[in-house]
Amino acid sequence: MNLTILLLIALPAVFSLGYFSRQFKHIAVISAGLTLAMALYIMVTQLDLSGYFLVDYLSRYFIMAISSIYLLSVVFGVGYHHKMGESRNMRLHLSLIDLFASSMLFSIAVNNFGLLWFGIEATTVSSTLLLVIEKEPLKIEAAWRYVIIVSAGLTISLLSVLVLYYDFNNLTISYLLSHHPAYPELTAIAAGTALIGYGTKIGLFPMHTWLPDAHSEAPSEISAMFSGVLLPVAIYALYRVYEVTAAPRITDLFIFFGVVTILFSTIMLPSQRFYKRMFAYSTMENMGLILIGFTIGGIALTGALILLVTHAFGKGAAFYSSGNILENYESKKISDVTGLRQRMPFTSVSLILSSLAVTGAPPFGTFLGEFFILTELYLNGYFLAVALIVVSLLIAFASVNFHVSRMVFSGHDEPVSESSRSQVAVALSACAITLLIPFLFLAYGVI
Amino acid sequence: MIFSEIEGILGALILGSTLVVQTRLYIRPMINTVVTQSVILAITAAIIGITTSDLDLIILAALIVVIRGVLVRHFLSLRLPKTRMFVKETSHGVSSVTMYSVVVLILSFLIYRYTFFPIIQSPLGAIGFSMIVQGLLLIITRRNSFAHFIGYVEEENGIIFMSLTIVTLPFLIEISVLLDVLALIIVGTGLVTENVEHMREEELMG
Repeated sequence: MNLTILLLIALPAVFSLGYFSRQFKHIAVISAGLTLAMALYIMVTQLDLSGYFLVDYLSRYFIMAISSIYLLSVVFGVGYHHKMGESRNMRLHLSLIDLFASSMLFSIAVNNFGLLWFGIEATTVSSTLLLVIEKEPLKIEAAWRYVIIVSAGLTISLLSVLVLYYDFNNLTISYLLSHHPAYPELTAIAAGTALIGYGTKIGLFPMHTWLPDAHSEAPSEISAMFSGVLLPVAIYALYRVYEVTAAPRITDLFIFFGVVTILFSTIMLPSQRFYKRMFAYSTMENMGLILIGFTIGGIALTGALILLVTHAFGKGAAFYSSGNILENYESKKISDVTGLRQRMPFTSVSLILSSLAVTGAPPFGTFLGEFFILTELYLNGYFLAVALIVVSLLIAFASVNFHVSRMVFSGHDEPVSESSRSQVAVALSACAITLLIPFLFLAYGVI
Repeated sequence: MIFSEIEGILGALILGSTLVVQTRLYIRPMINTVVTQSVILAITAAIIGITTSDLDLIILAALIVVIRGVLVRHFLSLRLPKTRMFVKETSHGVSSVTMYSVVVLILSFLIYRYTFFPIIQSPLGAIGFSMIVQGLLLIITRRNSFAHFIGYVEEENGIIFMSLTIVTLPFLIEISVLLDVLALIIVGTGLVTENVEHMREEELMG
């Protein structure tokens, strides 16, 4: 069974050699399609593993989300960068997407804290150049900030690996989950350093500074992968450390950082002038909530999983739609986009639906996820946190949807000029999946 | 006993090199200092490897020399602008940087003293920890791409020194960390343009 996971990780890595073929675009799509097929097999057979790899109910959802967004992003990217033809940059871009997906899958499946850290760092290395497919100074600056801030932060999480090894004399995740530490005081240090280190990658306040820059300057399919699956992969790493180190004061610390991140992103959202940057701050807000859900456990864990999967597709759709808008309007400014409803009727639908999805409107899964998380928080006595989050969610909902409404409904009599069919189809299908997710969770017996 | 004293002396040299890096304003000497630091780190690993008969540590020492001593220097030097012999950091003067780094050094020793030390009981671990903090300080206070890289390498050197003095991480993990730095330097140097200083950009604000 380890072979299934090995194949899942190796497949995109091997297919990245498509760089050398003239059929590199087809190869990239086939690679993503096969990876998704394997992820579906793992999900349907409810594969459980604990050897070199660790696959349980939690990792299966992550694997599913990564594989799905990987496929959608490759299909979108092929259309979005069609002007680049068969250039070397385009080949490199698709090959790096394959390696990026492979490193994320490796991080989720590996059963060792040291290698998990390595996997997370590998996602940084493989994704940095994805930001600069077009060598513009602003994109290079954003990529620089991303690679330096995230790598510097992740080094601190390596300290948690060191401390855990000192404490347990072992780094196998499943071993650590079933054993008690020799020095319980040290586990608190491991949790704290992991929170700072992986928190930088997740985009927790105040280590978030790279996030809005990278998301706004990356090509849209990469923004979708960053927001939808890369940050959750870092949450997964942090959660594994939390599982080993959980203690009441650590729980409080994690919830504190989650709440502060939500508050900060909510403060930033109303004043945003660029739509991709606005969605980046919305991602921070959702990551804060997901972190709280994983930390508090119980029904909130289910809520966090629903939120995570719905957000992956919803934010993916928001960034795909943003890409289509950027292609047509050639501006990232919210004020420059008017008459979207007339000019890009399908994209305006996907933008509205995705905005509603990522801001937790019913009937999307995000609403259900947020409801579960808030309920569990309330039941555990975190009343102030619940109040602050509810107010923040309302402000974030109003801010994002107000900006999107301005883009869609202002102006009139614009000539129709939609993006390519594949790009529109990707954005709309991501929205459709977002609507289906609560039913899929019902069918899978989670809720 | 004598080996632990040698280890202490090497640790002091590494710490000294960390402070020297902070005060460097020209990039080329900064790169040379961090390479020297990496070589001292490799000697430390080799000595510990010999005294404990641990072949993994001796191999690790050789890899540190090759990767951080030779390759990192090579890749960084490749990107130094050829038109200008000396690339200088312009954001700070020596006196202010020295003051910051000494204050941060004392703070990092205090943090180590009251968090790690009561359990781990390894005084040399404080050197590794302070290197991590000094690396972060270098990244935060400088605008120059090369200084950022060097700060990152210092951080990673600090982790390896901590690992050597507290508990040696499994060989596979140590190698992964080394390769990771190399990969990051290769990818990162691709982003270093003629303009090596990073300023505030209007579109990346707010």
